[in-house]
Amino acid sequence: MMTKFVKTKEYEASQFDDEWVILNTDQFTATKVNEVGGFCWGLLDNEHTVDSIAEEVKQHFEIVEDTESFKHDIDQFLKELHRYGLVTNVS
Amino acid sequence: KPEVLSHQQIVF
Repeated sequence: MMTKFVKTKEYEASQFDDEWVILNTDQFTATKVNEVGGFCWGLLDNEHTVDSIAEEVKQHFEIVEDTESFKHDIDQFLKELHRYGLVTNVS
Repeated sequence: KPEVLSHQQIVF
């Protein structure tokens, strides 16, 4: 079964130009992500797999990307957010 | 590509 990710908590996120800053008010950290990262963060209100996020991102940004490497990028991104306590693994 | 640009501890 594929791992699903979801926000640990509804942390405040603010957009500055093409970047987003996510404030973790439990650990007192500020995590800055790029525009695509901010879009992914917005999706994580609901449970998502790497595949489902990749599909959403590709549609939104009209990406013609080699699927496997693109999924790998998203997987790495989600693991990093998980390391910072911003997202949680489900199932 | 989704990327984390920086991650910082906030000091009050």
